[in-house]
Amino acid sequence: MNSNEFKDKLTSVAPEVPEHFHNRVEMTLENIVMQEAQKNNTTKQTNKTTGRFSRRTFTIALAVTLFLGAAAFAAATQWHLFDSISFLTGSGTPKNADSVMQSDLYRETVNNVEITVREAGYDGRTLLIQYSYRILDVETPYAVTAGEIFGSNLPDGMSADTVVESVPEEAIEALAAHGIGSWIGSAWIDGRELDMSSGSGSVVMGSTTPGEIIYTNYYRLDHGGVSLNGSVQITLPIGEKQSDEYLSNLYDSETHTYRLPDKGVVTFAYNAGDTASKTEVIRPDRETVLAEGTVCVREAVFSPLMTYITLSLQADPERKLQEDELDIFEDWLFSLELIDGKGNILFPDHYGLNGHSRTAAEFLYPYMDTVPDELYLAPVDENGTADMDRAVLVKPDTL
Amino acid sequence: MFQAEIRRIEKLLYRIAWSYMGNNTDVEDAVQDALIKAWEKRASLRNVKQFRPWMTRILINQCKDLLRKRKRWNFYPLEDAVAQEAEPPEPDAPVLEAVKKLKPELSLLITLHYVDGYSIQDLAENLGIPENTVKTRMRNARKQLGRTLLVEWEAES
Repeated sequence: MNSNEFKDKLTSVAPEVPEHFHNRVEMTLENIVMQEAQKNNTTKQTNKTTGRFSRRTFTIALAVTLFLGAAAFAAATQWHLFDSISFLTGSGTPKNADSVMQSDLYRETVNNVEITVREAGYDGRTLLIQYSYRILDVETPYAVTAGEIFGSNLPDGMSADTVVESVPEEAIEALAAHGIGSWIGSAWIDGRELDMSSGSGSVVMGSTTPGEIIYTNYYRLDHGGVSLNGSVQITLPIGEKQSDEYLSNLYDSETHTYRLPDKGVVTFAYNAGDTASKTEVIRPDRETVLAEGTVCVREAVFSPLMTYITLSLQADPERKLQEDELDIFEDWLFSLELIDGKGNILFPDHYGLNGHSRTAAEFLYPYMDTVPDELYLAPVDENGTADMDRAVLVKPDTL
Repeated sequence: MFQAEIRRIEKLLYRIAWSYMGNNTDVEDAVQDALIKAWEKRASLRNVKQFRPWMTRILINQCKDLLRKRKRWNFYPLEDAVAQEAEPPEPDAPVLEAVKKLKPELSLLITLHYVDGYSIQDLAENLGIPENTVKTRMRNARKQLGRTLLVEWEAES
């Protein structure tokens, strides 16, 4: 038998998607929508009786918002940046954000596009930057609204006019027609290239201001071995677009980095101050032995913006012979929640696992104003019960 | 949006679940549970472009979970046992049987590639695994199938 004969024979006997399967999927999807609608209705009624904005209302809205990476621009929030990255920092503005955030960092008009660096902040691990383009000769807003996405089935907490993530294709085309936009996926700090290391990302959205597009970038500097101290010059390649030839001339083949460009960029100063003094780092270094292997919290960082927890993983040698090492801890990692010493789940609607390898895993949670005396990462079942026999200690109460 | 994306990848979800579970009853249960989990965990999806690998990972975990439970309770559905005895083997059944005997992650790649026309790159993107891993798994799968079915593989991308 040759490859083609194998292909023909397998195609003739491989099962097609049965009608029953299709119906079951459709039924499940319908049920999901109906249950969500019921939840929202229940919450609305609760709000009317209590007359206050309940936590549940917000979390449902938040969950839907996060699925689309969406962000509602609340006029009352001082630091708008956090509305775009609530999937990282949780809802609202972290209480101590003022200690690391700065605003109105840069403004310039190029090719009839106003470029503004609105806000930036650094918490000792992550650099956050929000910048915007306003195309001055465009009269229509680029906001994509919840009404357009959800129709009449709006998530609770959102109105039809709520701006969510994403911009229409015409916005990107208009920006390109003006010769403006990000032309390389790098940034420079004090002239040294900074690659977008793992865990970094960007969120883009329109706004109700005509011709405006807003970008929020988050750079995991610690993953690239970079930390900021005092005043630094940050350069972003977000000005006039440059040619491939110019870009290739910037490349330094010895260091495999791009030299600081002298055009097509914006440079602004940011004072990182002494961020280290604002960040609490603990290393409990206590091993937990599970069936999967040995686990230890390598580091827990409580910054003014977020909570970072890094686990080291050492798979059981016998399991490694039978399974892909990457899979061994996966189910356990997926089931973990951050809980206090009394077994309370601290962020039930926040998905903490940020990524894992064969030997390490990272969890991100929102800022904690008051860190509980004891903290654990514990597997939690569908009923919300934590299995403390398979929990790992994040913060012992002796600290 | 969630619903629309799921409808787009319905066939992929079926193939994945079938590779692991091997019968339609379990396939439907696994996919239903995975859809509910995905909906509940949708806040974990940071990049909408990563929807497919994110969803497929949830489904694969769900299938493994069901298989583990099955193993634990030594569950063997009577209907399947009866059906196996009653149905005569189809003419090309050896091909299907050989593919089913592969590890699920290998049989999935073989089915998606040869039956549904997924390229190596498509497989990597949809399943969220590196292209080199896909190539290695495909090589292993072909080697095993070659031994069982005496297939002479031609050079492929």
